[in-house]
Amino acid sequence: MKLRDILSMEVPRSALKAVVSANNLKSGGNSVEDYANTILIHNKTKPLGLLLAEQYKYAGRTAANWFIPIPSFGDDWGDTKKAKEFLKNKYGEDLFNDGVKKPLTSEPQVFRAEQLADSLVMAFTYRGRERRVLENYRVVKRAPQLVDYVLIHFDPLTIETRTKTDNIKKFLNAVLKVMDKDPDAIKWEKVSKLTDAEALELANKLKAGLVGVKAKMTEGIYATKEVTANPNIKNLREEEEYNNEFSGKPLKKQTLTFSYRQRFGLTENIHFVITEDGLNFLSPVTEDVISFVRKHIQDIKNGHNKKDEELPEATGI
Amino acid sequence: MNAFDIDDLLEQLVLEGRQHFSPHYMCQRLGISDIDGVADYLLSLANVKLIPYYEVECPEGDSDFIIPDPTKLEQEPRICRFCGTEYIPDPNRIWLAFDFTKSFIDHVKKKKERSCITIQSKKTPTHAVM
Repeated sequence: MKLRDILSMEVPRSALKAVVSANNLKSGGNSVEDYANTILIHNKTKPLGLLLAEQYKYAGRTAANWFIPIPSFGDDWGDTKKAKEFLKNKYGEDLFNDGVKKPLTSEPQVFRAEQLADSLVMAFTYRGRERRVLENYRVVKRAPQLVDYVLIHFDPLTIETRTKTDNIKKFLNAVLKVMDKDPDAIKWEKVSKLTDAEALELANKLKAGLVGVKAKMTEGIYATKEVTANPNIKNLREEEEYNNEFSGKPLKKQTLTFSYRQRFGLTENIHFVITEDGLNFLSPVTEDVISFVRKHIQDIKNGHNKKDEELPEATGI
Repeated sequence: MNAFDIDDLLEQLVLEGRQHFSPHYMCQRLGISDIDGVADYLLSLANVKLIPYYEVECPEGDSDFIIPDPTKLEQEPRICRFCGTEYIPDPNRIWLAFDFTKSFIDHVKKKKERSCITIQSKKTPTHAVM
């Protein structure tokens, strides 16, 4: 996909507008295409255009789950260089260029790969569920071609799936197939599955406010209660009314918001949901944001007492 | 985890009119954290003092339906009646809750009545034998 297309299709308007405004540029209009064009035609902002594309093209509004294989397999997957070499030997150079096009099935198949900083992203394509649609006024059955992404992080080897919960098992098996590993020999530790205590610790580390919750009712006629904070309330946990009713209740869903300053100058609120299935980013996020959250979760799971200055500071709400 | 404390609390909950409670609730009331231990003990009282409910949760955490036996969960796709999510029931996503059997409720209430009568009769002065 051309850079202009990536910017106008994958990058949020707010990010494009922020780059245009911060550099005192005048766009021809206020559509995303106008902003994208403006960024690309000026030499001083073209690098920022490349940065925006890199940050958003595989991210955006996505679920994110992290899995560590047990036992881990270091040899061909110790770092990006070894991993790229393995993939090139198996699929050819095309995997990292135009892509490898195989016949589509309902099972995910890798068709493109790219190095992103010190990680590898693999694009998997598969046929979605067949639906009846109208084509030229005739009812036909069509199964859409879908794409989702998997990132491979190293040290420790961690697989990040960016697909909905139902697909995770399929995608992990597809990744193992790419890696020539036997699915029956590998178990997965789901790093993104957080207990209520871990979720609270993550919220504190991110300086994230709790703005919505679905809690299990442990007694009485209600199975769950779901509440959202009014816009004036930045953190339900700081409210007596919330604590009186929900303190100690198992939480099925937590909606959190934290402030993050992007490398390209935009400071924005990031909204995400923690459920028993993992994390789901509700607002379009960058690779930096996903990485920021991942590192904090790994920190929590490892039980390290890293000082906050070793990780980028969350700016709070 | 003290079984006597649990037994005492169960009687207290009957008198409070509590219903459909989980091991989490019991732990919170008792100030302990051994949810699994409490759950096992409550299950041991099934059909005597308690009626267990195995509620299958959808991925959004809604209690979608009840099954009589958690070992016989049909893992066929279904749609959650609350949120519309299509999912395959997961044996690891079952919420356990309990109600009291009628016989236990009656027993506890009668026991309470008897203890009230006993206290009252002790307070009432007996007639002097002439």
